[in-house]
Amino acid sequence: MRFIDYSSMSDDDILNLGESAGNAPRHEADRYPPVDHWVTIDHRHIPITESQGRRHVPIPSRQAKCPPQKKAFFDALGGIFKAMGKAADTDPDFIAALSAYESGWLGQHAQGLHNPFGLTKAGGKNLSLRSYGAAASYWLYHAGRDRKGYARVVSGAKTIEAFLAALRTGGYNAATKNWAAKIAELRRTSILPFKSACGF
Amino acid sequence: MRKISTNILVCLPFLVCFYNPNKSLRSPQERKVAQYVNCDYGYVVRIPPGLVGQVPEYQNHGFYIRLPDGNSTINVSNEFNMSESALPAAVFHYELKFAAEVRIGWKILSRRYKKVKGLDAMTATATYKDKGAQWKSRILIVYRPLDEEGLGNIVYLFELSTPLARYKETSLAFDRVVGGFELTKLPRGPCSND
Repeated sequence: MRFIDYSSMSDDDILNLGESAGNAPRHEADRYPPVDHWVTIDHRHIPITESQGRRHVPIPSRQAKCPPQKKAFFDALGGIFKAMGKAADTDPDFIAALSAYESGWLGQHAQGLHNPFGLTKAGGKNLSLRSYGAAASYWLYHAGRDRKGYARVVSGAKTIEAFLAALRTGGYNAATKNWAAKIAELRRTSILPFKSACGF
Repeated sequence: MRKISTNILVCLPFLVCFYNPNKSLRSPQERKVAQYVNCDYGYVVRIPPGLVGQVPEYQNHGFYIRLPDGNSTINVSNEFNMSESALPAAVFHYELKFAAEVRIGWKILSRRYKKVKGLDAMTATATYKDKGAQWKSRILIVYRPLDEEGLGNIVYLFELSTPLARYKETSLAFDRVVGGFELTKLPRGPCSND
């Protein structure tokens, strides 16, 4: 497992990661692949390399602390995600990953709207709801193209790929090409390694 | 009672004619716009004359423009930064990695830091293959960090996808679209796209 201390590197060093290990790239594109994503541990930004393998949890559990942003996110919504997972017969992790992406880890604006799922008024601006519970209920039973909710749409989804494909068919975010890839990656790198530390 | 029954009989043929059991499964409807406004993510793009923005149904993450050549597109998207870092270089690296992920034979040709509307940005060009042909992509990634009110951490992404032979002319259209990009105040609660 290879961690690189990002904090002492310049912007160009970051973008040229891979060369720093003495492996001069044969093509410009080769400059980019080595770093898979960044994590923040103890206020340091650390790139995680692909050599760790895409299927493995990237951070040793003894190092994983729950960052304040994630703690606030799971404190506010963790119980709701679990209940939603049960209601929709799917993995709450999938719903948590979707929510983290759509709400920016329950950023200020999503908090103001009580809208952790990026629910929109038929593709217009985001909806304002009374509570997170109301948002969950809307997502489960009223949202989507047919206004019957996403619970039926994702019911039985056993993988995040199946979950996201079902949602996309149901009308979620058709614009962003790599929407599903990003949310799957988000779950792998930013939800799973922190679940236990964040009490989810 | 008789009047109600008569009404039902009169209306029945129309109800049958207009009832569509597949209505909820109809193909997605898109909105055509001359200006794309997204108050939640704090930006506006004025579409240049002669081009039309198309907003997919039921989403709030941007729009696209199909260019007159029929093949090239400009996609404009907005999302929260999910890179786990607030450093612009890390954000740009993350976005380029995902741009590569959905393409075959992706090869970065150039990249350059710049400022757009006072924000850190990166522009990059790359080639890739699609259906056996060589295509070129031009990308502009703009990063809006958290402001003092705790709002932001947003990535705006403009991407031109065009057959290599069309790059010069379509690149001009891309510049015009980017020229119509304006930031707006980020809201804390409900906002309006009007």
